[in-house]
Amino acid sequence: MTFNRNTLSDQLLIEKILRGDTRSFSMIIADTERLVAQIVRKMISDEEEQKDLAQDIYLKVFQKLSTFKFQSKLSTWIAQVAYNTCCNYLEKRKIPLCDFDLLHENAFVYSDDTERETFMIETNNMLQAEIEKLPPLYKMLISLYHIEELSNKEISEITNLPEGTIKSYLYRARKLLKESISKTYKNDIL
Amino acid sequence: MIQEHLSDEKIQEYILQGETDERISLHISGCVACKQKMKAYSVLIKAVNFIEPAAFTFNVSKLVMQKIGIQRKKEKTELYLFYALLSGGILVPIYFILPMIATIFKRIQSLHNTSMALIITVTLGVILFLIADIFRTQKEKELQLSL
Repeated sequence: MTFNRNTLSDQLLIEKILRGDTRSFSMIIADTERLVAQIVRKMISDEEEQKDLAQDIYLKVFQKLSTFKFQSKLSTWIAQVAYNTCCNYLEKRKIPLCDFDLLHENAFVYSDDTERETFMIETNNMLQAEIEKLPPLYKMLISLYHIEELSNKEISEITNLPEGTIKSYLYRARKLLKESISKTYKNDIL
Repeated sequence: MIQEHLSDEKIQEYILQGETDERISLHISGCVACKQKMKAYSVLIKAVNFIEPAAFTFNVSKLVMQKIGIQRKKEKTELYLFYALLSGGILVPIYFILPMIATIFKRIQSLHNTSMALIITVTLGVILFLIADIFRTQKEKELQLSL
C-alpha cells in the first residue's frame, strides 16, 4: 500500500491547492493513481476510454476539492469519485456491472500440452486473464481486496455498498474465478 | 465435528482468517472433497495476492495538469470578460443617467410612501430570487459533480 499520506498532510496539501498552488495537485495524483487505476482498469476495458475517464475523475476531484470534509481518507474519497464515474459511464453505455453472460462468452478452453505448459509458467498472467473475464464489479472488488489490500469497510466506503454485500460479492467472485479456471484448464491446477 | 460438506463461503472464510477454526480444520482433515476445495481456494487466493497491480499506460498527472492549466486560463479569461461586461453594464447607464439624476430624484421624492414601499419590495424580491437561483444552480452543479 502506498497511500500513507496522513489526514494532516492531506489537509495541508489541499489548503495549498485551494490557495492557488495547482501544481501540488500532481502530488495527490501521484499518491492515488495506483488505486484509481485499479478501479478504472478493472471496470473499463478500452484504453482510450480509460484515458478520458482518468482525466474526468481527477478534474472532478480538483473542482470538488473544497467540498472534501475529511470524513474519510482522501484516497478513499478519490476512489469513490472514480467508482461513481465508472458506474455512470457503464450505465450510460448500458453495460451491466455484473454480467455473467459475458463471463461465459469470454471463456475459452486451452486443450493442448503447450498451452497447458504456458499456463503453468505464467500462472500470474493466466490468473489476470481470468480475472479480466469477470464482471466489472467483481474484477474491481478482487483488485481492491487482494491487490490493494483494502478492508471490506474501506471498499464499502468507496462503493457505497454494505460490507455484507461486499463480502458476499467477493465470495462469489472467487468462486466464479475458481470455476472458470477449473473449466478453462480442465481442472489441472484448481 | 461438522458432518456435512463445507460451503465455498465457509472454506474461503477459513483461509482468509488464517485457517484457525479448529472445527473446520478437523472436518477438512477427514473430508477429501473439502480438502481438495480448500487447496484450490488456497492456491487461488495466494496467487491473486501476488498479482501485479494494474497501472495506467499513460501519464495521468501530465494529462490532468495540462487540462487544469487550460481550464484555469479559460476561467481567468471568463472572469476578466465578466468584470469588463459588469463595469460596462454599470458605467454606460451611469453615463447616460447622470444628466437626468436631478430629475429622477425629484420624481422619487414626489412618489407616495405606498408606491415607494412597493418599488422597494419588488426590487428586493427580484434580488432574492436571483440569489436563490444562483444558489440552486450551484447546488445542481455540485450534485452533478458528485455523481
